[in-house]
Amino acid sequence: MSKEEDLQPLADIDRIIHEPARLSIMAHLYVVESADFLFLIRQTGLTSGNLSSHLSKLEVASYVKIKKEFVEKKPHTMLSLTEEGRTAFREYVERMKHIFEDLAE
Amino acid sequence: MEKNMDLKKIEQKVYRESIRDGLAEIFWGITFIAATGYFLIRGFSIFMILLVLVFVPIMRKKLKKRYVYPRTGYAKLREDDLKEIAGILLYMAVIVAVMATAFFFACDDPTNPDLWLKWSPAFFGAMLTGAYLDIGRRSGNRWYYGITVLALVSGVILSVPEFASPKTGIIVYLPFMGTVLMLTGSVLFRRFLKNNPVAEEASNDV
Repeated sequence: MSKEEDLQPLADIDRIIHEPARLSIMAHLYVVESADFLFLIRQTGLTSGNLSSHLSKLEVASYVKIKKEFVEKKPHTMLSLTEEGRTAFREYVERMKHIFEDLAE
Repeated sequence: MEKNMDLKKIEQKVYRESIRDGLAEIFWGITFIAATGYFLIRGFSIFMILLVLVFVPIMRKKLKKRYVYPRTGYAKLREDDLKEIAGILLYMAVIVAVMATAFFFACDDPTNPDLWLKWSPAFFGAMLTGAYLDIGRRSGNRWYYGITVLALVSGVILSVPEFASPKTGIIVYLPFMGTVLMLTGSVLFRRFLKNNPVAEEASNDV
């Protein structure tokens, strides 16, 4: 196998999801239908600024849908994965599994 | 930050978060105690129990909004309600079928309503067993299996003796399990409030 072929699976990794903080966000949103901003802070351990910045990147990639609303006059943000985001996450997980399987061999 | 990327474990953790406030136990306890009235008080309508069953989830939702979500945030779990209701009905049907089969082989008249009433604690115990086995599996918390064992064992124990009235077993079982659930829920709720102060981050929305 050539060096290029060896590196191909690694090169195909979705780098938007691969970043640890975003991977955690995606994983938590994958197992629910939707969640609010505070829930993600609590579950991922990220600061609100950090979370906000990563969510913006995921929104630009069309992986996350951000819905802003007002609850009792306070801003409230609901977040969910788009279909595209779910598919991308599934593919990422599958790809990583294959890479680790190949490494084991 | 989350180090373990096991999706099953994340799902279990999220589910565990959604039930750790103890409100479900409190309200199931109230429902069980209210249901005792049907067997104990003459003229107590079954509609009173239905009213409790309608009223309780509304109250639970309101309390969650007031005390739980400002502390832990809100997540809508991925659930198929129709599938879940179908599963509960199927499970109920299986228990009734098992009991009917047992009565058919063990008794002269399996259609005798007193016989069903006498064994109703075992029926409720089996129903709670199903519910808490499911909660235990979904949350990964073994503590729920304790309730499972208690519900089933006490249900069977209260069904076996020949009391003066066939109602006695269920009249003891429902308030007993109702009190156990309410006390458990109250302890969980108090601990939840103590360990989870209202989040300041809630105001720093995205």
